[in-house]
Amino acid sequence: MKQSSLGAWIAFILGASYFLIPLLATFEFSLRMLRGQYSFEAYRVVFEQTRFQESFSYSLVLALATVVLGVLIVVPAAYFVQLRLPKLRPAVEFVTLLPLVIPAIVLVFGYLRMYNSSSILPLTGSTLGTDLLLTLGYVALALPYMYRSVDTGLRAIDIRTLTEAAQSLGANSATILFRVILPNIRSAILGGAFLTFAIAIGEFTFASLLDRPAFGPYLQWIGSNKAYEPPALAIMSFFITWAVMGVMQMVVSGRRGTR
Amino acid sequence: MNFVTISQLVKNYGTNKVVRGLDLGIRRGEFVSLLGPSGCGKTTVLRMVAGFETASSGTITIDGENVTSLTPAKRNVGMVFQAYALFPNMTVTGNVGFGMKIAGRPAAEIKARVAEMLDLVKLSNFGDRYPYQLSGGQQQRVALARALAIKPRVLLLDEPLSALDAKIRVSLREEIRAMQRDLGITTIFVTHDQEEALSISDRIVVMNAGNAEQVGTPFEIYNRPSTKFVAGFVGTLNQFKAVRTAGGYDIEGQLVSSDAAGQAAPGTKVTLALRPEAMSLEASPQRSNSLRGVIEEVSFLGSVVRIRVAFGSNKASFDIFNNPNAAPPHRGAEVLLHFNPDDILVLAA
Repeated sequence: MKQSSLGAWIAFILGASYFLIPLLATFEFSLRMLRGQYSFEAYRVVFEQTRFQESFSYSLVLALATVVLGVLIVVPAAYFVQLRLPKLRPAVEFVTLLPLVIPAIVLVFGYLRMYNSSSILPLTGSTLGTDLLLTLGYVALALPYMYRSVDTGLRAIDIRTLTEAAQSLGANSATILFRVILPNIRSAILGGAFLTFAIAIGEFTFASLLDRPAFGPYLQWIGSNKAYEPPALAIMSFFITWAVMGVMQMVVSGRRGTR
Repeated sequence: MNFVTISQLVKNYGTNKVVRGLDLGIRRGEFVSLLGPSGCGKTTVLRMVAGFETASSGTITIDGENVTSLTPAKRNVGMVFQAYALFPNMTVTGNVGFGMKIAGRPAAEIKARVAEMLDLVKLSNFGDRYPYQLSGGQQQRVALARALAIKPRVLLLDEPLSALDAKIRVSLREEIRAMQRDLGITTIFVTHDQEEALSISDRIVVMNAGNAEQVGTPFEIYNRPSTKFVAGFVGTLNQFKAVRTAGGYDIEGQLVSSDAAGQAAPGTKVTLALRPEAMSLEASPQRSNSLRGVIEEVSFLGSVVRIRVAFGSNKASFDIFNNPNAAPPHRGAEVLLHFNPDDILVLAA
């Protein structure tokens, strides 16, 4: 074995160990719920918990709503900024990065001040309103990832010429956006969508302070009250994430019309 | 009567005047090329006809309809872009049928029209392919088919051959011209390639700094350029500094006769121009003018030999055919260059 490839293997093994050893240790611990034997008892217990089912379904719905809303807001915005207002791009990029700079707890207190039950728009005055506020908050949290992903996708294609070609064939803005631009940045949108999904599914701060039964607060609750279920949940979350990434890969690689 | 009329068309970007009051009439079925160097405003004119740019002032009418303020989608003009602009997510069939599909045409009609167009551009067997599976030339044919499928009133070609290699460029331009003639479609073609413009056009508009310097047939533009810019831009031109005399011109002490006196009075400094093909080392009754010079450079190019001759500070380049039985003249040799007085072009000094 050459010295250079030996070094590469050592670096690879060290890197892989950094990620895999804690994961394997967590998995091993999650199997030890029954004394003296390995079993999936912790997983069975978690699945049977009504609170797990409710919180996971709730967060799943909200995460999907966040993805849809995020795509509907970000794609047209990024498209028109790039096509018609390119000078505004630095300002828009700055705005989209703000959720990374401003802590989630500051954002949620801002929301509570803006949309409390005695404000002009009392979103926290009803369950549906609070859910809507939570979804909008998730959209804001995921904005840096969704915008960057979509923006990169748009930069990879010549949107101006494609737009003009479609216009000359009689297409209006909506047709161009949904039938020409969107299909050609599908992989970028999917990338942003799954990052958004990953953020929304396990988010704690917003959901906890808005007092909604989401998966994040449930993870926190079970982590502070149980021993074996939290590692089981961590492993499950890990596999859900990988499953989602797998779906993304399948959809993207199955995409027609691109190299 | 003109099918397309451009009147006093102006386009300003802030203080930068890109198009300065262009007037142009194009007859139905005519193939007109906008020719000029980069930044002359030719593409901007085309984009204003397409509706992608808004005119600062002036009007554009197509078939009697004022389209100046219409959106591109409502102008019914077909456009072919330099970068092909095919939709990567659609097959060739999808691309060609796109315009008809969004217009809500029946599926059977779209299918028939797509087949007709693909047959026209000789890509009948490529309907299921995606753009990335096609060569540049094939992609541009698809773009052409897509633009023609909607039966546009005017076909706009924005340097459609620039991204192709030389051989494909020549064959595709011939095909474009043949298609245009067959369909009788009014076409505006933008190019900076003079050979392309000369070979393909009914008329050429030579543009410079936002103005039309000259509008004419390729023959007129090449042989009778009306300005120094046109003379210099279209084709190769040898220019000589000269002074007007009573019977002709004085080129650094050598007198040449010419009827092309222009308005210059004797003693006026002018620039004379001669096409390379007007010059010969061999005398003839028609080539009654001659200039004595010294060969400065001889470049053997295979079928032709390019020779540069100096007459004092003036220089001229011309080509002679390669003769396998005789060596080309050598550097430093003194030669007499003969030419017809009628071939002299008089340009402003």
